[in-house]
Amino acid sequence: MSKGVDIGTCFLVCASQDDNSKVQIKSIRDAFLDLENEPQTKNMLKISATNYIEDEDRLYIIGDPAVVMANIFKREARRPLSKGVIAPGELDAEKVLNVLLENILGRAKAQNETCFFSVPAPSIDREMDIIYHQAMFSKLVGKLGYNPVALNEAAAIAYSNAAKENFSALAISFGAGMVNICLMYQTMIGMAFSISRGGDWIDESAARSTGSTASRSQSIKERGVDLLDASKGDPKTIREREAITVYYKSLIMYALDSIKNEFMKRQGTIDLPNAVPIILSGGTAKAENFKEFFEGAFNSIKEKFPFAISEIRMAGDPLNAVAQGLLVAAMNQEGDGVTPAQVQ
Amino acid sequence: MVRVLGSSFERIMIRDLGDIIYYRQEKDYTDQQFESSKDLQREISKGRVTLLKKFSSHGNSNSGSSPTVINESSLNILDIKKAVKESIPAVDPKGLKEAVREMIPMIVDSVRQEVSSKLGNISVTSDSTPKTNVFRGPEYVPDVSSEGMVTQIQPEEREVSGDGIQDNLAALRRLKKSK
Repeated sequence: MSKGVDIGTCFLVCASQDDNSKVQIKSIRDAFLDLENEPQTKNMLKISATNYIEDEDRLYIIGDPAVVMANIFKREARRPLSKGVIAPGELDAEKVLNVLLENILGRAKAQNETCFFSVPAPSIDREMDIIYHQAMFSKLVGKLGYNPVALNEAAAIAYSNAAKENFSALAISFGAGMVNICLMYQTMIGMAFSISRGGDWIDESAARSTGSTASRSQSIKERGVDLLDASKGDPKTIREREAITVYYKSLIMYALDSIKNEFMKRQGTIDLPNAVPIILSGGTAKAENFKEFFEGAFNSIKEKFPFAISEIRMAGDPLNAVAQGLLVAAMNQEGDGVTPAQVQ
Repeated sequence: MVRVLGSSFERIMIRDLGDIIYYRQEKDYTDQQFESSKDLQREISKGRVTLLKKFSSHGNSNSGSSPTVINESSLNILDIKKAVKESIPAVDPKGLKEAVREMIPMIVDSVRQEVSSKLGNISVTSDSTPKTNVFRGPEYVPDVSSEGMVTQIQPEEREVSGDGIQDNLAALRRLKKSK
C-alpha cells in the first residue's frame, strides 16, 4: 500500500488509501515542549490523554497541547523542523521526529511499499541544507520498512490539484517555515524554488511589532483572521490581527516578486504554450479570504507578470494537498512496477 | 584495535574508559578496551556510536605501528608502487611525457566510465515523476533510536473520499500514455 507523507514545519500529514478506496489522513502538529519527568506530571498527562513521549528524565508534550502549554507558561514551543528543514542544533528533534513518523506512518506491511515524502526546493534567499534533511528523512522512512522517495513539496500540490490542466500549474505552498513554489508543465518541473518566509515569519514579525510572543501571534492567527477585514473578531486582539494582515500582504508580494524574478532569470528556457492556474495551498493559506487577498496583490502586478495565468484557486484541501499529491505519485509509481525512486 | 565513530549529536560519555566521543569524531580503542567497556558496547548497540573497523596491530598495540585493516581487502602501498614501476617500461623522460599525453584520453574515459557506473542510478531529468533507484541517506547519517521511549500519541485521523485520488491517478496515467 503506497503512502505519502508531508513533512512540514508545522504538521506531519500522512495520506494512504485503504482497501475500500477511502483515503486515510493522519496528522500531528510537530511541536513539542519538554518538561521534567515527574510522576505527577506524567499522571496528569495520562489522565488528560495528552500526547507525550517519555525519554529517561524528560517528558515531551507533543502536538497542539505543546503550543497551548507554551502559551500558558509564556514559553516558545520547540519545533523539530525549522524553516522547512531539520532544525539545526535542536538535539531532541530527530528523536521526536522518529517517534512522530512511526505514529502517523506506521510500519510497512509488505515489502517494497512505497512512501513518498515531501522535501522543500532550494531556497533563493537563505543557505539551507536540503541534502542532510533529505538524507535523514530517507533514512527515517526507510527504517520503517518503506522504499523512501522524495518529491518536491509544491509539485505534489499539482499532482493532487491540477489533473484537469494535465498537471500544469503554478503551485504555491504557503507553509509555516517557508513558501515553496513550483511551475509544472505536464509533470515536468520548469522552475522550483522556495523562500524562507512563511507563517512563522508572519508570527514573529507581528509579535515583534506588537510586543508579543510568536506563539501568541500564531494562536491568534489560527483562531482566524479575516485578511479583508482585520477588525472582525475579539476587540482585545485587533492590533495583533492588523499586524498579521500587514505581514500577510508583505509575504504575498515577496512571493510574487520572487516568482517574477526567478522566471525572468530562466527566460528562454521555459516556454509555456498555455495559461496555467495558480493553485494556493498550505496552512498559512487557510486564513479567511486568503484567495481574495492574494488576487488583490496579484492584480496589482498582473501587467508585469511574465506568463499568462488562467485562474487563481485554492487547493481542494489546503492542509492535506501535499500529502494527497504524494500519495498520487506513490500510487502511480507502484502501479508502474518501477523500483523507486529518484529525488527531485 | 577498533575504530569507532560518534553518530549522535550528543556527546557520548564512555564512563568506564573515562572518555567522550563527540559527533562524527573517530576514535581508536585497543581490543582489550573494546571488549571490557560495557559503556562502549552499549552505545554501539544503541546506534549512537558506529563501529567502523577492526584492526590487527603489529605486535604491541602501543608500539605506534600503523594498523592494518583486516576486514577490508588491502594492498601495501609499497607493493603498489613497485608494481606500477615494473609495469612502466624504461623510457626517457621526453618519451614518458608523450606516453602520458597519449594516455590522457584513455584515463579520462575510464574515469568517466567509473563515475557513470557509480551514478548509474541517478538520471538527470526535469520530469518530476521519480524514475530510478531508491535514494537512501548516506551511511554517515546518524541513526536515530527511539528505543526505550514510552509514547502516548494519538494523531488526528479522518477519512476522505478516494475519488479525487483515483481521478488524478487516472489522469496521470493517461498523460503518461499519450507522451
